[in-house]
Amino acid sequence: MEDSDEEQAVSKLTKRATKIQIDDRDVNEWEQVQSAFFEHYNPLTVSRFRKESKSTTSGSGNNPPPPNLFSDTFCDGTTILCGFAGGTCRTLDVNRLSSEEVVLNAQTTWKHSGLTCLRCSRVSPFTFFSSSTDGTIRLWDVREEARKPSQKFALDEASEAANTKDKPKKKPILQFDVSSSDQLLGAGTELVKEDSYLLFWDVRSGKSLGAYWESHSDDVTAVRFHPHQNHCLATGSTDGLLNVFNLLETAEEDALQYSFNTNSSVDSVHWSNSESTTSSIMTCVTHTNEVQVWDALTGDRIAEINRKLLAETMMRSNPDAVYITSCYNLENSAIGLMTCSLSGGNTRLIELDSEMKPKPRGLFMDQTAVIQTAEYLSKAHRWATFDENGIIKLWHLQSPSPSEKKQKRSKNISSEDKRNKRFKPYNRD
Amino acid sequence: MTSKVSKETLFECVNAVIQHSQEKKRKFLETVELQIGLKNYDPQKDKRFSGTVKLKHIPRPKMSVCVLGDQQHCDEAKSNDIPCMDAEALKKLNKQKKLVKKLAKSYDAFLASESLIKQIPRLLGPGLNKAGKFPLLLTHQESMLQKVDEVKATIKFQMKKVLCLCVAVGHVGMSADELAQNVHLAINFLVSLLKKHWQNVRSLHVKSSMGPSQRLY
Repeated sequence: MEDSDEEQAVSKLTKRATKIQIDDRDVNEWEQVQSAFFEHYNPLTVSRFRKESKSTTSGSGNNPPPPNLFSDTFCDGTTILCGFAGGTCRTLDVNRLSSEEVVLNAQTTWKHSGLTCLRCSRVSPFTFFSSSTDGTIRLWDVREEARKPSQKFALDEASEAANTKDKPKKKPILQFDVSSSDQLLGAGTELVKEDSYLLFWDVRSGKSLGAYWESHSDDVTAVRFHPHQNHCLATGSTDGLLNVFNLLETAEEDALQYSFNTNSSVDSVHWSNSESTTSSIMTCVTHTNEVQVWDALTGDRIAEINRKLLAETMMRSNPDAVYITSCYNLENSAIGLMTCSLSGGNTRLIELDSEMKPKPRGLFMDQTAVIQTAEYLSKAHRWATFDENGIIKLWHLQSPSPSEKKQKRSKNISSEDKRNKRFKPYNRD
Repeated sequence: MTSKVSKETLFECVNAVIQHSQEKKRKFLETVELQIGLKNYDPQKDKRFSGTVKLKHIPRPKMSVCVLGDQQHCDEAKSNDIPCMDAEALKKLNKQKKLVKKLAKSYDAFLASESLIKQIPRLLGPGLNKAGKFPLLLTHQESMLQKVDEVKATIKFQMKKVLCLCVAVGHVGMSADELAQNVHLAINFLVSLLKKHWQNVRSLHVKSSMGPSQRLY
């Protein structure tokens, strides 16, 4: 039969196939890239946060993907919380990350199996929250010797049973957020039967405050409270919608303020952290590696940045290799995007200017692996990145050494003149 | 983007699918689907794989689109024989859940003018959200007909908990050329979203609703 012949031919080809690389490279000369991306970050410390996996480099390429990572920064700005999807999470003091040290001290880990999201407390540098597929959120205190949760937030069993005809199914939480001043917890769940929920709890009392289930038709993957207004909540889902809620309203249909249709699938949503408490700019990163910026006050779509535009800004050749790690709030209310190339690292920082147009900003030198998650430590102007090879790096803006200072001054002179200058005896280092 | 599937293999496969559907004609128009088997990807622990992609040829010709428009858009819609509703018509629904649900069921997709789309939660409540049919933004800068065609040509794909993804890319009434183009576009787009591109693809199959699947990769 023709099917089996074709199948045999195809399988022969696949067996002979060597490791398939993604083709992506710089479009411009390295000097041009360096001058366009004017901030150069270099690693201050490099260490390992995960044991090296027994990966094979055989032609079949059967490497299991690295476990999904979550991170957040404590409000003191020097301790980072990171966790694996497997369930363990630990704290890392950025001032104590020494080179080559395997950061696997069992004493500093907490376990919440089925971990899906981590958030640090907004007021205390010692407590954090974690959510999991078991449908609960737990509050932990790092000073607790026993490594047990201080508080557990779950759905009220009794009211659940009263509301549903059959046995209440557990609702796996995919992402959650804690409001400013630690008042409320809002969590988004997976699609369970036909509903995906937004669950709410009061932190101090631990009481469940109810749920919304009408505004999304698929898994809720992004939940973010406004940085200053704790009644304002943004949620995103794989159904492509970005919803904005005013939690002061009691009924869900009154609380829903806006629904923005990204026409894609939402991976994360971020509020701009401007000085003004009424800032309403929301940046959304989609699973298709594109960015959309919406205004939650006027309801307007301010910007739509596709992979092609990002590749151009990144000065790379292949739009299909663009990977967005996440979106960050930089100084002066600027919005930054950390982008990588799927061909391997080449991590660059893109800034959205006042018109929300992407501009090159920073280079993370010699980064060859895709960054899974990163934290921006604004007080110290440093970045902490966790990449797919299990390495954690702390980056700082390299202060230019004397030789570099000369090169910077001669930026506008042709490369030939630069070469000549270097040979002049009185300019040598 | 270089594809790991040669043009000949693609055409052979597509032709085989069409041939099979001709051999045993069904009473309905069979849909042609692309099935992708993935590897080295953990659906529980890795980043989601979902979104939309616009194909070259409309895969579902019978898709109905309704325009929720301001005065200008409604006039344009009427002159182009596209069903439409204006703010007044929406207000008449009085936010009643049953009526909104009925509206959601009557059309496959919605488009809405900028001014109207912002009022939808106030006018209709979350009914369209729940049905997964929240309208797409329709501006005055683009042609309505073009946008409607765009909507009809866009397919949604979603990765659930299994390592297999299925998307409708056409129907058996399309020519081999059109089907091949759609399949090619879909494959390239979906592969470009995978972290390791082709290293994450285990197999590719094309099949019609009732026919056997034809292996592509």
